[in-house]
Formats: sequence, structure tokens, C-alpha cells
Amino acid sequence: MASLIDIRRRIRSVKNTQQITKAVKMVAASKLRRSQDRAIASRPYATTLEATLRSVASRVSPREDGAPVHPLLAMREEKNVILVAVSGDKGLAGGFNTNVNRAVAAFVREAPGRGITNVRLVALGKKANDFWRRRPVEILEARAGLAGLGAAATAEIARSLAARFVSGEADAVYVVSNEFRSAISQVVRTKRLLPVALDEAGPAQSGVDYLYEPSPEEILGILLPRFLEFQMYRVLLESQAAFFAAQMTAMDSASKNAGDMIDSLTLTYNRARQARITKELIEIVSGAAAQG
Amino acid sequence: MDGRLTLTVVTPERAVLQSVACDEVAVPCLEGEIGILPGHTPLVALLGIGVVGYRDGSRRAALAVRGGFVEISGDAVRVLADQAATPDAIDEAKVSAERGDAENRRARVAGDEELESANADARFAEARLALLRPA
Repeated sequence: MASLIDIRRRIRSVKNTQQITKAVKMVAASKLRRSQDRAIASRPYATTLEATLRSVASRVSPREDGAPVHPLLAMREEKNVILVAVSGDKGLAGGFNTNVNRAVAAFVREAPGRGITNVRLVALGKKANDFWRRRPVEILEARAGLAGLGAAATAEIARSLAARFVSGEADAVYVVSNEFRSAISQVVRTKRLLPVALDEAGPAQSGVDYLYEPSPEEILGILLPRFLEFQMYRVLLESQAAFFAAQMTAMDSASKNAGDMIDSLTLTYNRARQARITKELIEIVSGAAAQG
Repeated sequence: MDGRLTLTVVTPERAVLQSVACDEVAVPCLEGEIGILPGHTPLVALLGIGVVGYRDGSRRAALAVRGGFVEISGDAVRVLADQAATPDAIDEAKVSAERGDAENRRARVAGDEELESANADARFAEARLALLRPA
């Protein structure tokens, strides 16, 4: 049996760990609140933008040669694909980062079966960077420090993706990220960012005959890139919120586990102490008996 | 239709105005300012840089916007701006500095794109400063 001092040391170390996990949990909880507010604040913009975009797109007459009305809508055979992996910058968040990396790995593995010859990666967040840097997947761009990114910085990422798509360097862009379901549930999802899918969101509900200034084509040309930028922004916001939610849950159960461990160690400690006292008493009593 | 407009101004980061009732709205569009009164025809127009003004009875208010678009359907006016600033959120010294910086850049830029962005920055700063000056 471990000595009393050893057990005491273990208890102290577990207590320290518990203090850390508790502190991280509290911080995550308050940050979760804030990023949730940000995600909610972006919702009115999202709904209006989507509705307008759809009604504008329905007004743009298709070209006679069958070409798409806007380069960002061009459907091509998917051969060269860019995958955007959105992870966190920090750990201590349970399966948050692992799940993203696993989904990316699955995508890369299944790519040949879907006729995709080349998958390249845009790794966002320190954890995805660290993980994929050592693996045989080409990384186009890597960025960390996502926490404070505003709409302007995410727009820049989206623009560079759009440029690669339009130039034909990539036939499609997918994004793998954690979606925020609730404070206790995050789901990793892979969705297509480019070409922009307008039809998926349902049929155009434009009962109103709008006047456009300038022409619908020009408006579409400006709205589509903006829509893409905004989607990127939302993905990152959601991932942020999901990250803090995951961290909070993970740290909560870590604190509980530490508590359980402290309890059981304390029990062992007390037993050992009791045993030692008993042993000492026996020694004294038997020593006295031997002398007497 | 009760003959009143409801004005909503949102940016990707937050909702600046949420369905504010008013009688008249003026919006800076790419091709000039448009005035909106109740019963306006449905319209989608791209937003320029400038001041959105609105009037509720005799009360007037304004905010600066930059980029995006405006959508009018029925009596709802929805402004989706890339950036927006209300007068109470403007720090005069900071915006003045931004304007100075943008003008400096304008003076020594190389490409068209840079010139455009410097111009836009300067105009947005100008629009915000205009808000602080009583009309």
C-alpha cells in the first residue's frame, strides 16, 4: 500500500487539477454566453440576405448558352476540392477538435471513391494546423487565433476561397465544422460552400415584383460574394460557440471526475491512517506486555 | 398597411435598429440618395456610403452606413449594411484619426483598388463625422 505521504501528494495534485478544470469551465461558460449572443445577433441579417438573394436570383434570366448566371454558381465535375477544416485554438474541449480532424480524414479517405482526385486543406484554428501539418495532405492556408476574428477578417478568407474557385483552381469548396446545437450538443458537419447552392434553401418565395437598382444581374454579382463571406462568418461564429459549449461540458465532467477521485483517495488515505494507528497501538501494547 | 414605415438596420454583427416605426426614410444608394415614404414600390437597391436618416413625427434620427443593400417590401424597409454606426457609438477623435489616415493613404496609393478602399474609408469616416454635427 502506498505510504500516507504519497496519497496526500496525490490528493493535492488532483485538487490542483480540479481547480484548473473548474476555472476553465467558468471561463468557457461566460464566453459561451457571449458567442451565443453574437450568433443570435447575426440571425436577422442571415434571414434577410438569404431571402433577398433568392428573389434576386429567381429574377435573373438564365444565359442562352447555358452558362451559370454567376461564376460562383458554376457547377463543375468535382476533381479538385478544397476542404476548410474549422477547429479550435485550444484543447480541453473533449472531442471538439478530434471530431473535426476525424471528419476531415474521412473526407480525404472517401474522396477517390467520389471521383475527387485532389483534396487540399485550409486549416483554420491551431488544432487543425498542428494535426494536419504532419500528414500527407496539402495545406493551402493555415490560420490560427480565430477567437477574435470579426466579419472583415473572415470575409478575407472567403474571398480567397472564391478567387480559387472562380479561377478554376478548385471545383468545389467544402467546410467541416462543429455546429452549435445546444450547450450540451455539438455536431460536426461537412457542407458545401462553393458552388453556392441557392435551390437547396427552397423555392424562391418572391410573390413581390421588386424593382432593382442597378439590374438584378449586378445586384446578384455583389450579393453572392457577400453571401459567401457571411456564411464563412457564421460558420466561424457557430464553431466558436460550439467550442465553448464543448469545453464547458468537458471541464464540467472533468471537475466531477476529479471530485470522485479526491473522495476515493481520501477514503484510502483515512483507511491507511487508521491502519497505521492501529498498528502503532498494537506495537505499544505488545511492547508493554513483553516488558511487564 | 397603417401608412407607417418600419425601418430595420442590421449588420452581420448585430441588429442596429429593429423595426422602428417612422414616417420617412432616406437611404444613400449607389446611384444617389432615395427618399422612402409609405407605399413605396418594392425595391432592392445597393447601398452606398453615407447617412441613413429617418423621421418619426417631428423626431429625426440618423446613422451612418457603409455597403450592403436596402430592401423595401410593403412598408418594411430593411437595410443590410456591412457596417453601421449610430451617433452615440461614434468616438469623434477616433473617427477623425481614421479619416486622416485614409486621406494619407489616398495621397500615396499605388493601385486602383487601394485608392478605392482609401476613398471608401474616408467617406465612411466623413459620414460618421457628419452625424455628430447638428444639421
